[in-house]
Amino acid sequence: MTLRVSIQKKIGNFKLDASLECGEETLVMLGSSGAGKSMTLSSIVGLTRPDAGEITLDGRTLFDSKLGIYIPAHERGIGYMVQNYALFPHMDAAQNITYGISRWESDKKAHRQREMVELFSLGGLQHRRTRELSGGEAQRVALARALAPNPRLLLLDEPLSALDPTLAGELRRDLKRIQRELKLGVIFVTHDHEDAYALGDRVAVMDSGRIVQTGTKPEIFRTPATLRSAQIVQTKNILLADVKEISKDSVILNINSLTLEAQRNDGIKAGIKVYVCIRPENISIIDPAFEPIGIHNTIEAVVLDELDLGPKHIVSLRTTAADVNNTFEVDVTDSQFRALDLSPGKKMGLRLWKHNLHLIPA
Amino acid sequence: MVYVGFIFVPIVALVYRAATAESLGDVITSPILRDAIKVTLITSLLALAITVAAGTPLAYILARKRFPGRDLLDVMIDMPLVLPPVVAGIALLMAFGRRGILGGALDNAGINLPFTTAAVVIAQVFVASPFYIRAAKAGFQGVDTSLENISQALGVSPWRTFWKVTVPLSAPSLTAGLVLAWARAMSEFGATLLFAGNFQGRTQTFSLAIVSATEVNLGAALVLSVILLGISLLLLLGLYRFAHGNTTIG
Repeated sequence: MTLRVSIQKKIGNFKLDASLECGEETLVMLGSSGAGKSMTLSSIVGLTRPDAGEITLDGRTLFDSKLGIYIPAHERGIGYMVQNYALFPHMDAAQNITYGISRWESDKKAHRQREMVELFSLGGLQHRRTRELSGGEAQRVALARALAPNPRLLLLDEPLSALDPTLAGELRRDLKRIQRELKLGVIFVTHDHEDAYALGDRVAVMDSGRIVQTGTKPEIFRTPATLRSAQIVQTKNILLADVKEISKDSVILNINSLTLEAQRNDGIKAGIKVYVCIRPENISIIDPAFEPIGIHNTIEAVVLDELDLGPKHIVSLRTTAADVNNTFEVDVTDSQFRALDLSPGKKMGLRLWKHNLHLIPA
Repeated sequence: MVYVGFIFVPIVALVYRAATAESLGDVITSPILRDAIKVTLITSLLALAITVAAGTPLAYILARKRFPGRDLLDVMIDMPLVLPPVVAGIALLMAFGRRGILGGALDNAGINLPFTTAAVVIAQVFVASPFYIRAAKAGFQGVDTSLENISQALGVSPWRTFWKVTVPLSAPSLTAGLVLAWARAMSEFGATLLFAGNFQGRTQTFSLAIVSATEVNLGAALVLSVILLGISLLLLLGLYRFAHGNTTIG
């Protein structure tokens, strides 16, 4: 299974210019709403006609503007699922599942229906009207319907955003299992970076109609290529700094009076300005009573407030140095949070690990 | 209360006077009644078939597509609703009549429309089709396009998608439109009179027969009126039953 896409489309002021490749893997397209993710999917499935470009699936040309080829959606054989599931309300669950295989022989059709019912644990629900299905059940029926005709490629447009977190978690596991079992290519569109973390073999970050970066999860989340990309993957802590000097394996950065040391990477030269990106889970809060502050990438900061999410807390701290006026967002586990007794106003230290500072030329 | 009385008193009066009319037996067995029923049923069903065949694609396009002149087309389709039927009749004559703008061409082709059964059908299509097209358009608009999209992604062509998804889901609106259009076609009077005339067995529909009868025999007109009323009532009841039956399916 190989999908190759390179398409352009203009609607009003919006310009879509997307290129991507997907094999037997889950590719997550991550981006805020209006970035062009859904339009890209609907172009691949054949419901939107791009102005220009090419789409090929396993060597078969689905769209080629130069050759004038445009295969309609119903001849493409691509599985497609949308946010509201779009189950047919005038049919029961079983009829929905077999909708795409209604022209199969009845034996084969019945066999395939049983397979799908089993694969998605839908036993006993076959004769339910779609309105009588819970969110999670409706979601599984929609997935079974999309996969019944045996597509090699499955496109999912924000399928988890209408579900509560527990169900979303179950579905993420289901999706991963099914992708591996059926050796599918899956493109999963979402604005939620947690979906991307949980599901993506690779992640494509989309912004304003363009795919700004594609890579493995660590690449995308730890080393975003652009400032926008860093924001989309929820880097949270982004500081503007001057590159003071470059040594054999370090970059020395200045943010006014504050000096930080980062790992050396290509493209960073002395004298330029850079964005320093630090993920909230990669900062340690330390107790100044036990560790000295001000050396080895440590900064003094005051606790502003905290958001209790149960197992983890999101703590905001503000640096105390008068000329480094920065607020940091730090993820802290519940046990650390209680051990450190992080009440507002308390002076703490922040340790920014050298290898966790990612630099983007400004 | 006053309003209910206002609606009911004339209907009750009509039925009462018809039941007590002296000519009840004569009218029921008369060829005028038989011919009127025949002409009305044939023409109104033909008009309905033409309306559905031509109006359904038009309603779908209006509901789904955006194109220049769409709003104008939308208004044009509603025009016969606000046009007085007599004006509609004159308009049809001016278009298809012997001296109408298309009359010459039709004449050359050997077609003569005015004062034929075909003219009755044309008049009925003209006045009744907007009822169906409006309802069908609203019905189609009520069908979520993502259902049609998913259907196509599942390998079902747009044409089959229309029959398997769009039509079943807009069935209540389509039926309501059909019933209203049919009722309007059957009761059509003004346009038919001017464009098709009033010839028994050929163009004399129920409504025309009633008006003719009032001039010679009020009793016959009353009986005919009650029969037309009965048919209208049956249609309306059928419509309510269908609409109600469908609320459980959604």
